[in-house]
Amino acid sequence: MADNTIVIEPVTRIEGHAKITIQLDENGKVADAHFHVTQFRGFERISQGRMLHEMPSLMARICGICPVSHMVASAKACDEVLGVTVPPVGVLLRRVLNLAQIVQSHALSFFYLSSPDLLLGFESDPALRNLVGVAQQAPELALDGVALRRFGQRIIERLGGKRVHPAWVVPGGVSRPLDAEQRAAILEEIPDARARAHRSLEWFKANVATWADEAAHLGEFPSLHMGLVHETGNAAYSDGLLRVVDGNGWVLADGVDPRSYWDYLGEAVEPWSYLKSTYFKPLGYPAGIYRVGPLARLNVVERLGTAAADAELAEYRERLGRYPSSSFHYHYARLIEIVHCIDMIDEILSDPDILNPHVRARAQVNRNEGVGVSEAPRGVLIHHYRVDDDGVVQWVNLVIATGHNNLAMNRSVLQTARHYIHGADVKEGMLNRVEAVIRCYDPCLSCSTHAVGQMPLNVDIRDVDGALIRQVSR
Amino acid sequence: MGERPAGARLRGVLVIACGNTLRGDDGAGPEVGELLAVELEGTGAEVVVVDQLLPELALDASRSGRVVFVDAAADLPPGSVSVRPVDSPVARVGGGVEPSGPLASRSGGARRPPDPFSHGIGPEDVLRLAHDLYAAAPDGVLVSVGAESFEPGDGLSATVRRAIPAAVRAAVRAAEEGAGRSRRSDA
Repeated sequence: MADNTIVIEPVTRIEGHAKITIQLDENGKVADAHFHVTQFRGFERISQGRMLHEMPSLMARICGICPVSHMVASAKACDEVLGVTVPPVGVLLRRVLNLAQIVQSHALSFFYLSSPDLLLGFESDPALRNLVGVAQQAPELALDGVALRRFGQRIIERLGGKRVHPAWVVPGGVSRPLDAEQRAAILEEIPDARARAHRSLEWFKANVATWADEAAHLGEFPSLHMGLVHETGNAAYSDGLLRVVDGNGWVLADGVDPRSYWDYLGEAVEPWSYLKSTYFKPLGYPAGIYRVGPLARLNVVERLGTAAADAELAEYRERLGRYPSSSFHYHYARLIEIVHCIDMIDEILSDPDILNPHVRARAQVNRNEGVGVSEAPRGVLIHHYRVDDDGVVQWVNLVIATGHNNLAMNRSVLQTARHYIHGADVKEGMLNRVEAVIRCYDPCLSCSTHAVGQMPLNVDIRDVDGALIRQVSR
Repeated sequence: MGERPAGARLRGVLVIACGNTLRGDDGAGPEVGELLAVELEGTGAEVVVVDQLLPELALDASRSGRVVFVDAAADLPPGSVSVRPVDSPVARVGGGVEPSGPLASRSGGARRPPDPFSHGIGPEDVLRLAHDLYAAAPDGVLVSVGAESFEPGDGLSATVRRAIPAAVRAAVRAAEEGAGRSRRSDA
């Protein structure tokens, strides 16, 4: 029996542990491929028995990259349990924090994890394919990436008290108001961040033709898209209602109150992954495949809501069509979102009322159930809690962005493998493209499964009988 | 420039103490960092405590004459304290830049082979980025504390806890030895 399985393990430059297996048929063509998440999350269970007021800070520990989105979604679920209306300035400050996190997380994804492939080449020396290599070849690009990540982190630090796992977002609002000095310091840094975001976007647009083959084969397929949208049609990152559109722009669900997410979203379990596959229930499994995150957000909204970003969005749609369907375009969408988030932070903080000290409402438990939703950098994030009358958590369900994208990531891996891999004689650059399609989604496996440790990825290539013929481990 | 006031005798020194306080002895770096923040208060030295080394720290490093890194090490005897210079990127540029990925930051000894993970970088990479991005050449010293266990849980092992005062003294010495080096802005 021939050994016809390629294993890429670990998948690199992603957040979490994963591997890819690629199964070849008797002619050496790719028959099937899977993205396996090999780490295990336990937060839904760990949370049981904890007090409700602990949840935002506890949930922030799920992830070191996007703790803010977890805090916001968690706090919103707690708000509902308390039955409070968060003061308007508290809502806005949470929004600023989440926007800052999207900036820093997008900067990490694009500049640190993906720009090495784009700048240096998918087939370049793997030892150089990192930010240090980018810094040597294009220092300005690396500088912009480092500065944008720092910009977002410094806002989180200023508002939340620390860069990682701030404990500022609490049930009912935020724990303390913004002071004038912090506000001035953030506003002072905005022009520089804005200039860097635009320069990076221009760099990407100027070079996008170089990656035409990758754009055509790294996850290019029609699917549904889901994201939060304001009633105005603008993008919503911390509030808003769910909208689902298909690849042609038909709206399949709109104005969906996140509390009823379970009417629309199902979760399937496959034996080869710890990551659940979420699907759009009305279309069933696996036909209800959908994507979330930057690509999906730009597809579901009518506009972003700030002038410069909307001009970029118009150009994006002119270049790619109204509903781009290649996962490669996550990169482009991500850069536009950085521009938008910086402008939104500017807009919110420029309002003098943002210094209003009334930022928190207080209450005891008034309901036994709450659902909170936010847009994490990678897409829609849902926290759902049930508590007893004393506020002790009884049950938790977390539906994470990376889970929404699981079906799409698997389909993308298969498509990319079929295009680039022919037979067991596989070059490193081919495997890197299979990994690169996963990086387009910027998955956070720590968020979606909860792991301890570092974040490797494997690729397996198996034969028609499932026997392993090649394994690439990193 | 004129003589520095006594309150700024360690101006230009940056201490980066690194580690995860929820991974046992990996919390040695933060523990030392917190003590150094008190010990070095008023000297002009800056102390930063971080979970892991990140490229953003290159800007802070570029504004310093000396960077003292403090970290736990998996490859040293538990409870031992090691001090070694961090490779100068300037020296390597002069002799040709070796292609290298980020380091695993838990190494107290020699450089490890290239690491494909971009989330965690090593002291050499922070200095290299300070050089490549900001045209700065701070020198670096790594103070490592040999760890006994990185298993999940807060609190240091007794062995490592006993080594903390020695690590603090080593870091203070490294800071004082680098005090004469000018920051880029002083040059």
